[in-house]
Amino acid sequence: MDDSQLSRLAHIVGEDRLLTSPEDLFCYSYDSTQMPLHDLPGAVVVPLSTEEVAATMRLANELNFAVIPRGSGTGLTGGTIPLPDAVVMDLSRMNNILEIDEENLTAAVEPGVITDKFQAEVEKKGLLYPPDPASSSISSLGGNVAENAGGLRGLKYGVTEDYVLGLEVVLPTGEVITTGGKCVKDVAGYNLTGLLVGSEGTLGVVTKIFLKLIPQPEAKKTMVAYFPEIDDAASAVSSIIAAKVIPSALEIMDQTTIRYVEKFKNLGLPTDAGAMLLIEVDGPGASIADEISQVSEICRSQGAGEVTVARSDEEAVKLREARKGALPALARVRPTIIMEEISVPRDKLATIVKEIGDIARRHDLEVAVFGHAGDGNLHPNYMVDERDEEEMKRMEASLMEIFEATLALGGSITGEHGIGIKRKHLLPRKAGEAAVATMRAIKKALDPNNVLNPGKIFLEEGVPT
Amino acid sequence: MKLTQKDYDEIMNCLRCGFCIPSCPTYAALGTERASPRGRMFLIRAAHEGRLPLSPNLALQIYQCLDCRTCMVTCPGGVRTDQLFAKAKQAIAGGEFLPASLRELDERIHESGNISGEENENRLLWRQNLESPSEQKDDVAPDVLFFVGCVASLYPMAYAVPQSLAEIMKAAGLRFDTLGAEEWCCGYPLLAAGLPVDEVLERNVARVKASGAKKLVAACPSCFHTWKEFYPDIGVEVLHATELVAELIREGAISFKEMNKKVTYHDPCDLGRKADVYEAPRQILEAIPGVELMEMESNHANSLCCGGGGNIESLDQTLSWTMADNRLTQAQSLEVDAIVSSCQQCERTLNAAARRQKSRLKTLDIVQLVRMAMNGATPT
Repeated sequence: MDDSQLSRLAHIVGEDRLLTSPEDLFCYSYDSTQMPLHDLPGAVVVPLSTEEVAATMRLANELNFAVIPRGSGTGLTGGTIPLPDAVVMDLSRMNNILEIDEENLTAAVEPGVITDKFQAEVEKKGLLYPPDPASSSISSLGGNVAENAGGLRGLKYGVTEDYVLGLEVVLPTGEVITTGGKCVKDVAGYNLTGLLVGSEGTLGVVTKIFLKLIPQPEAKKTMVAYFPEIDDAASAVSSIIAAKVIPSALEIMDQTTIRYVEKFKNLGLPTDAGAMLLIEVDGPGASIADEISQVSEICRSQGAGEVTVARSDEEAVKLREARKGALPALARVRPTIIMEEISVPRDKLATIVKEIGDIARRHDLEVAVFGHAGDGNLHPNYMVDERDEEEMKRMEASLMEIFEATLALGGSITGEHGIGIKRKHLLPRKAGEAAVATMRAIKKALDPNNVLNPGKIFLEEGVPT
Repeated sequence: MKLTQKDYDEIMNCLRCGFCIPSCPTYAALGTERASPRGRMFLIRAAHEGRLPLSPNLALQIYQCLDCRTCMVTCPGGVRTDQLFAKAKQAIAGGEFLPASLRELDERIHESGNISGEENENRLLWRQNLESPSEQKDDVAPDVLFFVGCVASLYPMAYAVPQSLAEIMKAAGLRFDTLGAEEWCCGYPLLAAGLPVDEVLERNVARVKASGAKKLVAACPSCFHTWKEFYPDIGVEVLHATELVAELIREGAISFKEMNKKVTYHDPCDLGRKADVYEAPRQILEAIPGVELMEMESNHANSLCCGGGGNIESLDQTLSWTMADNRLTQAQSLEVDAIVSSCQQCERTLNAAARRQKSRLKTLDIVQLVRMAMNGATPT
């Protein structure tokens, strides 16, 4: 970026909130995606107001530079990775909780608010904001909105889009609009809120979020069950839902994961088990004791060897340790862990887990699978070394096969991590050319100069799929 | 800045997940990615890979890490940030980008034997007002060698700490001695700067050996941690004051009168996260009748650094003050009469924050509290 461009930016955010040192630029060149990182942005701006965001977008159109909006930079598909010379817009300092409305059960927040912090505040008032991505201690609500983040509670409670009532957005061309609002029901005009949630920072910069809250469930019960085979665990998942019990968490871990967790944490886990389910039910105290008994029974009838129901909060914490220890355990096996994800209809769970195992073996790679069994969203985790080019080629090849297998089962290439950079080449395959063309038309209509987060979601024009 | 292959492999363990960021006290103070463990790991990696040249600004980013190790508690990858920062600092310290304030600290320690550059004889001043001399006059080796530390012996506001510990040991019938004016800085500030410590360690080792003591006690967790981790094993048991006092209480060598005090306990980084001593101080507080302990939101391994560690005070006073203010704010949300800690640097830092904030919430050392409970002195 040349000095005149930088000084125009400084005019908007002030010298203190314009970052140009090499140290700063390096620190805005990555997110949590494991991929080669070469490009530095041209500058970083840290706005504190909607006006500053809007002025930056207007300038971007005038001087033709790209703007990369960023929350905490913890995305997993490269959504906030800058192009060379782009301006990263760090929204983490717009982090006020503007309102928690206990009468309407709504809240208004700025995009930089950290998910966990917001959840803690609403919980003080006996309320719940359910979407709980694993990154919630650091991810921002703005980022959650951009990616339509999910989490463990997704099956019972839904995902981010189910809780966004409205947004204040700065469009790529600099206009400020408000979509939706505080109303429970509002069908005035197109559902722009729905369009924007999950648009990965390519259709607008979110500057306010209006969220729906629900009452906190009275109580929660936790259990784990170990199954001899993955098929048994998958059958248990189906049977639980068929029995009309919707757990607030229904997590699965495969044998590879169980073994590495045991190696790391020495919890006394049965390492010959084919799969583990972590199940939580929440709701009125009177009914959840029955529900958890029902679930234990179902697990046993589906062949579970070990079934443990926590009798206290302390025991519940212990039972959750295995699932919590999954990422730390796998991260220590090899230098690099690539956290992938796919989504399949629930009844295809066992099939896809076994196929992932076969594909990994054929490519001489190690993959451990854990995830949200209840909603069919799984995380195959590759344990590799990103500096080994040959291994990374095998990883990419195997990943393509996993995606093909997923699509063949009627699944999706992403349930919560988004397209970003990593899955651009797969979007046409999943959505079909006509749908992608529709998406491109919307993008072009809102961002005629392609300044907002270019290079994400769509392959460059003319690149064959 | 070239690292070894082993260290480069260690950096590769960083997933850039960002889980370290919410608990990093410098990130809380500065609010920007380069002031986070994730950011600093990436900078060290970029420097090693030759993509980012060493510069005063890069050196500053590395030295702004106070080595509190809160990041190591949450890191899923188990990244040894402690080792990586030590290596990075060593690489920087050997060259032109060592911050001037740290070069001066190095000179002071090697010329005067202490961090403030004053006459080392000043280490004797804290003993002047004691009822009776504390060092042994006969030829029998003392039971305990009390390694006093620079802060306790040279900062008058901290004198109550070694005085209190001396009185406790005397009351418990322990024969103890100090190195007096021959004590040198334990070396922790040099280690924190990535500077060589051999000379300092050799001197202290020779003198402790000469004392004949088989137990060394330090009231300063940094001295304690440094002795335990970096000094050679010379057949001397190394204890922190809280471990010694807890032992004396268990043996019945100290007894207490009733106190009436609600306190919170601040776990120092060097005693808690680095040396795993969390329970001894709590056992002491439990043993004093009438003392009620209320834990701060961030306690034990999650304790928030007071902002006084890692040479930050010399390097970046404003940053140090902001972190201290943040910790004091946490304590202020509890209804307690005092903050108790077991580190003279934490106590200095938090008391300075209280002065700045015009707060009445004072921090005292646990040995001061023990001494007050022993004599039944009225708590202030």
